[in-house]
Amino acid sequence: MRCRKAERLIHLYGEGELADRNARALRHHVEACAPCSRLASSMEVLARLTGEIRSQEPVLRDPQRMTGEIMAAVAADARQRTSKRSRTLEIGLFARGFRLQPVVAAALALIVLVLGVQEVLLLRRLGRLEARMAELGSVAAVDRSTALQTGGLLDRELSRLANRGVRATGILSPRGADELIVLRRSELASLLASAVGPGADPATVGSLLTRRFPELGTITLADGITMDEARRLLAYRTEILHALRGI
Amino acid sequence: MHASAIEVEADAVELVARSREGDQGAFRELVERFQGYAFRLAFRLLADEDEARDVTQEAFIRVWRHLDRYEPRTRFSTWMYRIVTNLAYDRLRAGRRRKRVVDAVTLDAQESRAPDSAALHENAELAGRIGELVDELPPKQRVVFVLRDLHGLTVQEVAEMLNTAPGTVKANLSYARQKLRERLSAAGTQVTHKNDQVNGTDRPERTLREGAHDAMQEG
Repeated sequence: MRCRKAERLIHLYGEGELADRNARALRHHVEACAPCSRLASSMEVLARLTGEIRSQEPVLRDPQRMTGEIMAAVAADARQRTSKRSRTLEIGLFARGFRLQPVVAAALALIVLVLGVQEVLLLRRLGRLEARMAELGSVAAVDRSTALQTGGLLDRELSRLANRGVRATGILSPRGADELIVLRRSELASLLASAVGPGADPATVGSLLTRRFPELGTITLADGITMDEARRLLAYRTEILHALRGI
Repeated sequence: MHASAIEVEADAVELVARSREGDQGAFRELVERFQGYAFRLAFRLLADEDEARDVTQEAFIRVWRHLDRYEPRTRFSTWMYRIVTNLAYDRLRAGRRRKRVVDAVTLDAQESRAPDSAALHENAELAGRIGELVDELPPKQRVVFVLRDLHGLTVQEVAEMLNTAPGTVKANLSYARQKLRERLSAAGTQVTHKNDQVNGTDRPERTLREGAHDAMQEG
């Protein structure tokens, strides 16, 4: 066996990765060839390191919370699928012949993106929000019981956010909410489509933002959200929520 | 697949069938049974606890929504793993996103109040070790390397997971190991020394010669 082949095979040292014949030939070669023997030794260093890491198991902390959060999302999804009434509620925002102003859509989308949560998204005291949204030609309401149900989910999400160092309290306050407007991330696409036309994508939202808030600089969002964009958008979020609070 | 995974696999197909009928209790059982596996895989792939939790949740929600696509001939855990792997891979490809920054902000806040701060600390330490090792690999090599070397799947299982040929897996694996080996060699004895200190009681690891020996025994 030549060194070049040996080198290649040395990197496939593991179980079932080498054919017997190759393994045998490799062993002979490594025994006889000093450079390849050194190579094999350094491969063993890596193997030892990966073995150590493999033996250390990540711990799923608070599995009940994990199950609870998943099941809350599942229950919400099931409700959405089975109840026509709730479906109407959830898409009410877009289905009543309203069209969201693109910038509003972008703002909602961004709150979704920035907070990085799966389920929540926007809630305001409905009266206030309604006034504001009506002005922009769009509003949706959910009934109180749905609001309360969703409130539990929001509470959990908020504590999760708080755990992650995102200060959401005071901006989103489910306990104070009589009603809620909730957007799911999965609904984002239809939201955007209804706002800026079919085929709308995050890149479109990005350029809308860039135009509307030039002070933010260029935002693309085409391929997820970068840390730098996230930082700038956090500033933007404050601005948006401040505007809402001032109503 | 791991023996323990096979045990929990026993009536998964039945649970999936009931879940598909809308039985949330059955689905909860699936979640309870498999969330740990999903989380550990996501954690190793992403080297980040928060992201791993997110991906685990996202994966189960996806499973729930796509129960009708589950093919009972496939092990449930394989299907689940595949979804987790895809989600993690997408995140890796999209770039690291908010990760490190959030980590820096949240660790302080969490550390003081988390009841299981020991586990939190261990997770953070492990995430650091994994990240240090694989952060510089391109996403595909990283995923292959992690599945094979840090999660302990076989090449065949990795290929199945990624829906690709074993040869492709081996090629990526070989590149990844070569890159990491070269980096370790460059770091030299410090690395060995550090690891001995960190984990002195660790079980002995397969060496090249043992690996080759095993391969011979198999035949």
